[in-house]
Amino acid sequence: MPPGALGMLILRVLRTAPLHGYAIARRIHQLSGEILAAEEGSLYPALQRMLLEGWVTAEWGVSETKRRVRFYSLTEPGAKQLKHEMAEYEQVTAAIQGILRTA
Amino acid sequence: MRKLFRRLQYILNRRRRDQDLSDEMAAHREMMPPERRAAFGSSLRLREASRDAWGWMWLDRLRQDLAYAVRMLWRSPAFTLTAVAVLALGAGANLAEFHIFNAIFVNRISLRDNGSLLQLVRHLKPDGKTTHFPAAAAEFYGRHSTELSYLVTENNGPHISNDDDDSVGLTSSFVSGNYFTALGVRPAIGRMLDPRDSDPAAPRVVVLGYGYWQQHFGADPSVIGRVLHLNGKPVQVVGVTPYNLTPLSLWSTNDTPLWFPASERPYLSEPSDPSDAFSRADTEIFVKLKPGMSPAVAEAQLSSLTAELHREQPREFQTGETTGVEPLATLPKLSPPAVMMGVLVLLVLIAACANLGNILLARGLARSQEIGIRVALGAGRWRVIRQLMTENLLLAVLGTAAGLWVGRLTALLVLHRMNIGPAFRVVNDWRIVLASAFLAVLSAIAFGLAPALQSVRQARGAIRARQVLVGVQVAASCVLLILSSLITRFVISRLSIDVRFDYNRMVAVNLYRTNSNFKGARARQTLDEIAARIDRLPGVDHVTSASIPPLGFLSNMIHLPNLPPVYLNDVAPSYFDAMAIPLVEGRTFRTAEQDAVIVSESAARAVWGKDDALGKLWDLGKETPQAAASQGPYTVVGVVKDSGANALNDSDSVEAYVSLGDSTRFPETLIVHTYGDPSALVRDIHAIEIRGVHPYAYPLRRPLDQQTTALHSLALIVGALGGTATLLAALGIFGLLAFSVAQRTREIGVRVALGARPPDILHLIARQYAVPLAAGGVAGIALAAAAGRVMQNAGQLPPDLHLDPAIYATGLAIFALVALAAALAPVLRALRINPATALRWE
Repeated sequence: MPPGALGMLILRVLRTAPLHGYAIARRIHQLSGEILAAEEGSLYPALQRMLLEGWVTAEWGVSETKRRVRFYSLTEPGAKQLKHEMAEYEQVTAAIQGILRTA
Repeated sequence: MRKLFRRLQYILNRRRRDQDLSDEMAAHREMMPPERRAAFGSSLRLREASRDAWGWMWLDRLRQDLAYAVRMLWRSPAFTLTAVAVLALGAGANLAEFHIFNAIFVNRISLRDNGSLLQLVRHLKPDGKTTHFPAAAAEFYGRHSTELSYLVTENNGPHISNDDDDSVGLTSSFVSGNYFTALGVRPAIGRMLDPRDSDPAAPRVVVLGYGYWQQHFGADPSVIGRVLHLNGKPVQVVGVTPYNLTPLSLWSTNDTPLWFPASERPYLSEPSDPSDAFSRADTEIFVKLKPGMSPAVAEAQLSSLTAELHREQPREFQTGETTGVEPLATLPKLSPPAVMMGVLVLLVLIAACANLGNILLARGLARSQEIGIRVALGAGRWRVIRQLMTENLLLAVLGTAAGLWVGRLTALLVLHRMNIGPAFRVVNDWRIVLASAFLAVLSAIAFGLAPALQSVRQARGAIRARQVLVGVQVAASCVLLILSSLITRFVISRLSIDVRFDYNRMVAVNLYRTNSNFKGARARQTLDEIAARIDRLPGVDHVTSASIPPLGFLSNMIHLPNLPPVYLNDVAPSYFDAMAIPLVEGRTFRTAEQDAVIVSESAARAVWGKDDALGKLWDLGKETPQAAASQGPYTVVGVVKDSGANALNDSDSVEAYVSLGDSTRFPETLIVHTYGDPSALVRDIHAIEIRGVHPYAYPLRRPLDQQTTALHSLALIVGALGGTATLLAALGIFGLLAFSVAQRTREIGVRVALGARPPDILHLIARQYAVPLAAGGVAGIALAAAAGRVMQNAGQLPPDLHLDPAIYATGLAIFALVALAAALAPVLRALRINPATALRWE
C-alpha cells in the first residue's frame, strides 16, 4: 500500500458508518477485493494520530459479536480532510496514468 | 490550538487512554482468525508506537532518566555533595552580585518618569565629566531653556545634626521646590515639599525619610507638625517620604533621612554670601524634555546657555565647556567597574564549572563499566548522553538552588558590610529566579556536555580534556588573585595617602548660630570665647580656624588658565603651625592681612617653575568671597610644604591659602589638634554650652573613612571572589591528583619495585599537569593585565599601578602556595606506595 494511503482508506470506510478497529481492517481488506491488507502494526498508530488531529472520535460500544469494542466515527474536520486527500490522490493518479499512457 | 488541548487531555488521562488502547487491541486480536493472530505482532511495541503519536514520549524518557539520575546521585553522596557545593559557590557568587546590583541600582522606587528622566552632565576640557553644577546654574537653565518639560535639582550630602536627640552627621538632600510634584512622589504620611516651600519667606520645613522616621521616631504619625532643632535651627516636620525613596543621584544609595527645599540651605548652613551660589558645584540636575523634543536639540541649547554662564562666571565654568544629557538608568549599567565586577564573578562560575567538569570526567572514568554495559544492552549513544546530561541538569538545579541561598546570604553580608542602610532589601524576585534558572541550564551544558561525550566515547582522550579544564581553573584563579592583590595594593596606597598633618588626632568644629540676629562684635566675642574654651579642654594643644576643613567633602576649587586646579582656603595665621605644615620660606599671614597669598611648593612649581615664588604677584582671577575688600593681585608672602589634603580628590591639584578676614561668618570652622583621644574631645566639645552658638564637632578622619569604606568593600569583595576561586582550584587540583594517584597505584608500585626513586615518582605525577598549570598561569597574567587596563581607563586606578610586577608575583605566589598545599596529600600518598601492596591492588 502506498504511504499515506492507509489514512485515506480509514477515513473513507468510516464515512459510511462508525466502525471498530478490527472492522476497519476487515472492511479495507474486503473492499479492495482482498488485495490490500491494513496491517495492525500501522492501523493503531494511524488511528491514534487521527484522534490527535481530531479527524475521528472514539466511543466504546458493543460489537455484533457482543464484544466490548471501540467505535471510531468520522468528524466534520475528518470529512473535510478525506475530501482533500481524495482530490489530491485523484490528481496524482491521473497525472501518473497520463505519463504511463503516453510515454 | 485544539490539537494542543487534545494532547494535554491525553497526558492528563494517559493511564485510562493506555488501558483503552490495550483493551481494544486485545479485542481485535480475539476477533482475528486464529491462524492470522501471529501477524498482529507484539502488542507492547504497537502500543508504544501508538502512544508515540501523541508526542509525549520524551516525558516518559525524562521521567525515567530523572529517576535513574536521582538513584545514581543518591548512591554516591560524597560526589553529589562536592558537586553541589562547588556549584553553589560559583552560582552563589553570581547571584550575590545580581542581588547587590539589583538592590543598589534597580530596586529604587519607581518614579513617574523613571524611563524618560535625563541627567545633565558637564563635559569639561580636555575630557573630564561631572554631574555636579553650581546651584545657580540650575536656576539659570530652568529660566532660559525652552526645551524642558521640567527641571528638578538635588544636592545631596550636607551633614545635619538633630539637637533634640543628639544625632549628628545625618545626610540630607536639598531639592528644588517642584521636585516631588514633578516626579510624582506621594508621601507616606503628611505632605511632600511643594513649590510654596521654596519661597524664602515660607516657614522652615523638613520631610523625614521613611527609614529615619521608623528608626528614630518609632513610626509615630504624630511627628507631623513637630518642631525639630536641626543644626540648632527650628524646623517643622510636614511629612514622611514613601518607603525606599532614594535621591536620583547615583552617588547616593541611602534612604536620605532629611529632605529640605533647596531654599533652606542658607538657613541651615549659613554661607550667606550670594556669590556662594555659584562657587560650590554640588547640585545635580535632572530634567524631562518636552514631548517630542530630541536630546540633541536640548543639548545644543543647554550648551549655549552654559557658554553664557561662562561669560558671567568665568571661574566656575570652563571655556568651551558643554552640557549634555544622559539617561538616568544607563549610567550604572555602562560603568566599567560594574561590568568588570560582573566578569570577575563570571570567572568564579567558570572556575566552578571547570572544576565540576573535572569531577565528572573522573566519575565518568569510574563509571565506564556501567556505561559499557548499557551500550552493550543496546542503549544508543544519544540515549546515554541524554541520561548523563539529565544527571548533570539535576546537579545544576540542586547546585543553583543551594546557590540561591548562598547568594542571598552573601549579598546580605556584603550589603551589611557596605553599610548602605536598611533601605535595601534583598528579595528573591522573579529576575533572580530567572537568572538562576539560566545559570543552571548554562552550567549543565558547560560542565556536563564534554564529560558526557567523553564517557560515551570511552576514550583515553579524557586526559586531554582534564588538562584543559585544569588550565581553565588555574587561569581563572590567577586572574582573580592578581586582581585582588592589585586592588588591595590600591586600597593600601589610598589609605596611606601622603597627608602631612596628623589628621588622626584632629577634630573639626563647625560653629552654627542658633539665632540669625546673632552677629557683630558680640558674636565675635562669643566665638573667640568658644575657641578659648576648646583650647583649655584636656589634651588640646592647637586651635586654629579655616573656611574649609581639610579632607572634607567641601572644597573651593578654582580653575586658572594653563594651571592644574587650585584648592583655595582661607586660613588663620596659626593654621600652618596647628596643622604642622612647615614653612619652606617666607612667613605666615599677619592678622587679617589682605592681598597676601601663601602657596604650596607644588603650586609654586606649577606657576613660577624654578623661579623663587616669594614676593611674586599672583592674580587669582576674582577675589575670594571672604576677602571681598581686596581687589588687586595677591603677593606671595610664603611657601609651605604640600599638605596632601586634597590628594584624595585630585592628585594633580595644588594649594593656595589666603588670609581669613576678621569679619564673622557662620558656620565658623575651628580645627583642633589634640594629643589625647579625638572622640573624647568631640564629646567634650559637644558638651560646651554657650548661648547663641551650637558647636558641631567631628574627627577629621571621618570623611576620609567614609571615602575609604567603599574601597574597603571593593577589596573585600574581590578578595572573597579570589578566595572562592582559589578554594575551587585547590579542590580541583587535590581531586585530580588523588584520582590519578589512585588510578596509577599499580603502575607506581611496579616502577618502585623496578627501582624508581621518589623524584622519579614525583616527575611521573607532575608531568601531566605541568603544561596546563603553566598555560593557565600565563593566561591568568594576560587576562589580569587586560582587566587592570580596563580599570585604569575607567579612572579607577592610578596610572601604571597595574603594571607593577610585585602585584603579579603576590597573586601567583598565593596561588602556588595553595596549589602546593592541595597537592601535598596525594603526592605523599604516591610516595608512600608500597610495591608489595600496590601489586595486589585493583
